[in-house]
Amino acid sequence: MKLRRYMMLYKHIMFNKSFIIALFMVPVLVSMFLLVGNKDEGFFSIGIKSDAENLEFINKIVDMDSVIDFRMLDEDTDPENEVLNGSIDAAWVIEGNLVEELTECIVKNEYHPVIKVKNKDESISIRYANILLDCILFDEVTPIIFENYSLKFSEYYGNEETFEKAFLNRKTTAKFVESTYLEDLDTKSVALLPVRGLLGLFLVLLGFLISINLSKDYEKGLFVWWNTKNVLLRDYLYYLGPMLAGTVMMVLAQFILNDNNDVLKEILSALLLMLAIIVSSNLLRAIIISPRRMSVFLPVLLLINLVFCPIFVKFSLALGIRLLLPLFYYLRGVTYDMYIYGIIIYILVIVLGQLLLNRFLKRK
Amino acid sequence: MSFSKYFVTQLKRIKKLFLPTLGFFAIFAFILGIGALSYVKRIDENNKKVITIGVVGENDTPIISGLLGVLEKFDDIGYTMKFPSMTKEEADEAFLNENLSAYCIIPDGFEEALMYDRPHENIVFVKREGAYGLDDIYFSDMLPKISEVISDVNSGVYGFKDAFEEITGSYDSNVVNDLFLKYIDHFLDRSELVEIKDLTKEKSIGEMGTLILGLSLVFVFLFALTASPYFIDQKIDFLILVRSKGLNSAKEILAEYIAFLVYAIFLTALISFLVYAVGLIGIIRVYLTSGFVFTLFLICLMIFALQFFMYEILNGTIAKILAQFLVYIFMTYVSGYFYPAKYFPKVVREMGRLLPSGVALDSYKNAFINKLELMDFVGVISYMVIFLVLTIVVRDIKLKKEFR
Repeated sequence: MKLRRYMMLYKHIMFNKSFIIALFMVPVLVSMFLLVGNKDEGFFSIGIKSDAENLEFINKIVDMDSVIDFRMLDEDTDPENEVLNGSIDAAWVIEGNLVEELTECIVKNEYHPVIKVKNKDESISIRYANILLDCILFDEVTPIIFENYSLKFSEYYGNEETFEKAFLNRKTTAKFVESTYLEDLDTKSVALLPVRGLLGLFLVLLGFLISINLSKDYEKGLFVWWNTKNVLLRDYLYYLGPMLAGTVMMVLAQFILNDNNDVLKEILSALLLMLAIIVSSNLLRAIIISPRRMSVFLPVLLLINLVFCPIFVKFSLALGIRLLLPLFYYLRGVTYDMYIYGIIIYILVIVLGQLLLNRFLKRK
Repeated sequence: MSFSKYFVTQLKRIKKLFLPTLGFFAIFAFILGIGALSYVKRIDENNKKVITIGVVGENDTPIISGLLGVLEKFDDIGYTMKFPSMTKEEADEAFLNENLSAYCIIPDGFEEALMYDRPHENIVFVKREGAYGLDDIYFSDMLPKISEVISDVNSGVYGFKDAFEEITGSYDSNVVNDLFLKYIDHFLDRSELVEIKDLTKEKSIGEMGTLILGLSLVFVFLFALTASPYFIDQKIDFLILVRSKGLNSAKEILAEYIAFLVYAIFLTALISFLVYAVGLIGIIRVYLTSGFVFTLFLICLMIFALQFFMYEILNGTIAKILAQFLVYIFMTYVSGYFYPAKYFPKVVREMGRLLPSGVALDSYKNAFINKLELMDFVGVISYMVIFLVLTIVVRDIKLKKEFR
């Protein structure tokens, strides 16, 4: 009997063409995001123009694994034109033999430009590319500085080969630095990273909209004939059907977005997020009460979540506010398991808070 | 019912939105204030963003301390980098309290292992998860290169030590340090090897400017949500009654939309005030021109026309707002509000520019740099008209169905 009542409630929210369309928009839009964000050519493009004698150096750059897409420019291409017409974001032009030029700089201890950079707009990307160029050049310069320095010793000791051999022996491609988080990151799809947060925000929005609906149903007197000792449980179950549908769509979209996800962790964290949203939305409903006031509060809720959860920007202030937002735990939980436990504590605290509030309101 | 009567009714409904919008505006300004505080906290006296990376472990060894010293002088990226030394516990606490951008752990005996060519653990960077700005993306891309730089210094400095030892049978640290200093000197003089030519011919707001404007326009889209109670309160029964009194769909929608002009003026005034305040504080350089205010007003009107259309074709509060949110987010994303559109494939980039969000961003950018052209208005106004006509058609079909 009770199940039938709930099914009727769910029917009244979910069996609506527009609601179904809105739900299915989630995986469809995420697939489109995937199409948009996965750019094979890289994040930023740099054209390199040089004489054939620097081919080895250029090939090394072109083959480099980077968010920058390095391309070799034809001999007859004007690099400035390419930059100006937007075919590439910047151009590196090397005139003459690079190693010879660098050697001259180091031997004479007089540096002069060996690479000409042509770019448009001083942006972070341009600045990063210039720093990268410094590092690439350093790789070329190290053996030259070494050779030049060891020359005076080899002249004295007469053992040039030993120096060269020792240098090559030490040369390694082994890693010296690693990152706890970024290492597995596919930098080419990095523009898709906010999508996870946005999907979570979608669920937050859904939870709050169900709250508005529940408030309206209370106003209409829908529950007058539905006596129950456990009002809180009835309210939570009101959310369950549509929220579960939304969560399924969100998880589905997460898998479309990234098929390397840990299935169990993904499902568990999505379910915990769903529960946290249900309890927090219901608490907000109990505080705000009027559906009209709730719809007014809606953009505020979105704004707070957009700003304080790590979706686009990282705030280093107002940790207190962030701890009130279920989405914050969900997004942090991707890397730190402690936030998954945190979300469980959050749910318990909110339920307790709501029980106390209900008792207080009943007494009043 | 006459057009004017219906219009006055709509004005009364619009009036109800003003107070909540002001409330939302106050919260928005408060959050912006927190953002400004967070920003101020992270810039130094030269107006450069400070990136603090904690260093745990041995950082007083020659190569590591030398490289950190070089990085502190690496100011061409536009940031000031600081590398305070701390214990793991201190770093964890500072990281959790977000006083550090990241921290790196240098394993014990790392440099000694390098020196004697022994196996070693790697330096580990502990970086924040979640959101990614362009600087995070580039930091991630840079890590292998940092590894390469250490490898280069290692092969040079300690390769030299090996050879020197082999030849002379002893190790002279002064000679090795001297070579290391040459590498450091190179790093300090590196900019002389590269000649940079900026081909920018005309005034442009650049990548960062576009992103800031894009994000601010996202909030304009968000402001449109404050109008949702107006649409949600609209009852079909009332519309049927109005129609039975002789007002057709076109007149209905026009009366509603003209009433919205008042709300759009109000919203434009609020946002303009905010932009003016931001300029006054000096967080970013903003000049409030009449062209900018007018463009903002037109963009607000276009967003409302889109909202009219979406709320007309969909049923149910939940579906309407959910769809509005999803469509807005998708449109703004594709048009490059969150990440520069140039990072997307060409077809998508073009599509993004043609979408209402793309047209809005283009005109907003041009208004910002005082480079407005007639075409900027044509795009925005065309979308406004198209959405209004579509809304009238959908309302007409809906009401005809009800009358059947």
